[in-house]
Amino acid sequence: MGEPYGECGSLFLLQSTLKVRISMKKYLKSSDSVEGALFFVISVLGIIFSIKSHSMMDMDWKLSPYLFPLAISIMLFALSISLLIEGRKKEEAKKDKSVHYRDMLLYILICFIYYLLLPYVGFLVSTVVFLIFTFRLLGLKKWSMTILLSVVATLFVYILFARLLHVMLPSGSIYYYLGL
Amino acid sequence: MYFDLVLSYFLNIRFILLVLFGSVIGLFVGAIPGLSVTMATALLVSITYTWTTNDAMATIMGLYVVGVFSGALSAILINIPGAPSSVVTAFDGYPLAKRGEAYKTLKYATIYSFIGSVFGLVAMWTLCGPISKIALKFHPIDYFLLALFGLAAVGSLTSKSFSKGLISAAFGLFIAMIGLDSVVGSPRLTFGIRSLQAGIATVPALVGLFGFTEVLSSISHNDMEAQVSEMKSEKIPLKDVLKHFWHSMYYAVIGTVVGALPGAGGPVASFLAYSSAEKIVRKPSRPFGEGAIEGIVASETSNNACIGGAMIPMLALAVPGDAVTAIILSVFYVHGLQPGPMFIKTQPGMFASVVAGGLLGCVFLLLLGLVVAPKLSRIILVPKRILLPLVTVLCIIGAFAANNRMFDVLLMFLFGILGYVMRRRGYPVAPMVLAIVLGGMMDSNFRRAVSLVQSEEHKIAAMFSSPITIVLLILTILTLLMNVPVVSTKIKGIKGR
Repeated sequence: MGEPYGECGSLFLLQSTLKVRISMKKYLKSSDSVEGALFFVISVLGIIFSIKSHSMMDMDWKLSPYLFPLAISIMLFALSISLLIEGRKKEEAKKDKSVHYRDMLLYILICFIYYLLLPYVGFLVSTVVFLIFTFRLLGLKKWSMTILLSVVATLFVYILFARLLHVMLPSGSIYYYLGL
Repeated sequence: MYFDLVLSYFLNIRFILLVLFGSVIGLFVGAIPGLSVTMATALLVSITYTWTTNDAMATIMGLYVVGVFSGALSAILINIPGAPSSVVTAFDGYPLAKRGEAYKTLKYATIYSFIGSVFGLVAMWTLCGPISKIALKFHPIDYFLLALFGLAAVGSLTSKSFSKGLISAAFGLFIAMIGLDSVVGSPRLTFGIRSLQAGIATVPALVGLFGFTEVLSSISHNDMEAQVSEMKSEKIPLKDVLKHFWHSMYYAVIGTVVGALPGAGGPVASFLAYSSAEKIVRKPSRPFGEGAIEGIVASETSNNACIGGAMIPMLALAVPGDAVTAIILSVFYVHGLQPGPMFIKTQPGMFASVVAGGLLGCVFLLLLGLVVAPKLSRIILVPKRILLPLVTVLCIIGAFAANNRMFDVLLMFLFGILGYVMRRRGYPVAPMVLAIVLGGMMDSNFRRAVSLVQSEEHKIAAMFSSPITIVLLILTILTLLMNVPVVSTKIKGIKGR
């Protein structure tokens, strides 16, 4: 399963430093019982939170906005116990499938940077850059193809949404400050 | 039942073109693995935000009907179902394609999808009225119980672990609670974050849970290529194709009924139809699972009949049957319409446009399926390494377009990651989506019921006085009980004896 890593070109260096492949088996050790415990805590916090917020509101329970959250918390309380019981019964390892967390985390990181840049740099420029990075990350080899595809796709999406469907895409505040 | 109104849409060129537009999108979206009908509808909601409701409905119905069908295309050709409801189609479809009968299989799939869709939609057309009449007698508590029953049913059907399904629903309800409270108007569960005061918008949550989650899980599995079967054109007499018509009616009934149950949907319907086909078809052309055309007929008829079925509770009770209808429900809300028992009476034009949009979608299904689909085999091979970044951009636009808020884009990402983690750990996403859409309605009906009862003398008796309430209560409790491990093993034990 290791071969796709070689295809990633310039991102290879960055990737190999992050080469963490966690196998599903290890991950599953923190299985249902841990989640059950987590939900148990959440539900207890939810019950306390609902009752406390309600008591600060000076209002009957029948009108209180926290009546329903309280009901859900109680439901979650019961469910978390049932999950704890389920988790105790089966401790078998499920299918062992290696998962490419590294690529995925990098992808999320790129998306996040894209999200931060979008309001400043604008849709057109940031999308072209985003597409170039992600195409490369996912293993598109030729540079010419990558750039051509990124530009064409961005223009296509821009014309379709901004011009034809009148979606207000961010135009980028940086151009305003630059006096463009 | 408003024949004239429905007919007027059939003559409306603009309406027809919009349905065609939706159908073409549906054809691609359904066929390309990694793009789902749910994802596309969620994206369409945000894009059609500024359109008239009619235009939006035309496009969405076209997409829904054709999208459910075209999942079969990739199931047959590359053995990867384009949508969950086509999983069963792949059982026999891919073996058939490997024998070089892809064209024939596709033709059967098209014609029986058409039959199934028309059956489901006609059922919706005729049954929505009577069901609305019953629904008029519903009290607030009944709506609450119905939604609860829906959540319980989805929770039990979409996951191996019932607790996990319901936990997903519970968190969906929490998410729906965030924002300004609908009765008193005070902020709740916002944790001091101002952007959360407007509540978590449905569209970014849906786009994230269906779109971005799909992208992330494709990347983490690193499945970027697929093998496609050859498509050879051949002549198949219509008489041969229609030999299975009477069986298909049976599958269509299964599909419609299963679709109308809240929570079950295409995947469940096609499994049920397939397993009943194994019983009622005496002499299949080949053994089931090795290329029986009867399997294709069962799966495709029933999963398309589900469409009409799922629309029934959505239109008549405002309780959607599956994820796509939950999104269509949010379209109505976004456009300021209120589905429910009064919907057909107060908005006959809107109801007619849903019917007409669906039926026109069926016509385009037949046309596109017979003429265009055989030539599409190259397109479903768009490599995922190109597709996934583009889908991400579409997700961002979809999340942003609904309210023009960058915060919604952030929410979309967070929901995408949440959906991915849930999928990895075996928590189904559908109950959460249903809960997010239904949460507000459940909350207000629950409190209305509680306040109504407060003024009565015998509180418990007042709350559960009507027969509808009692039936719903029993159904809900039964669904919950059946899934408690102790009870279900007991039942199995009795059956085993």
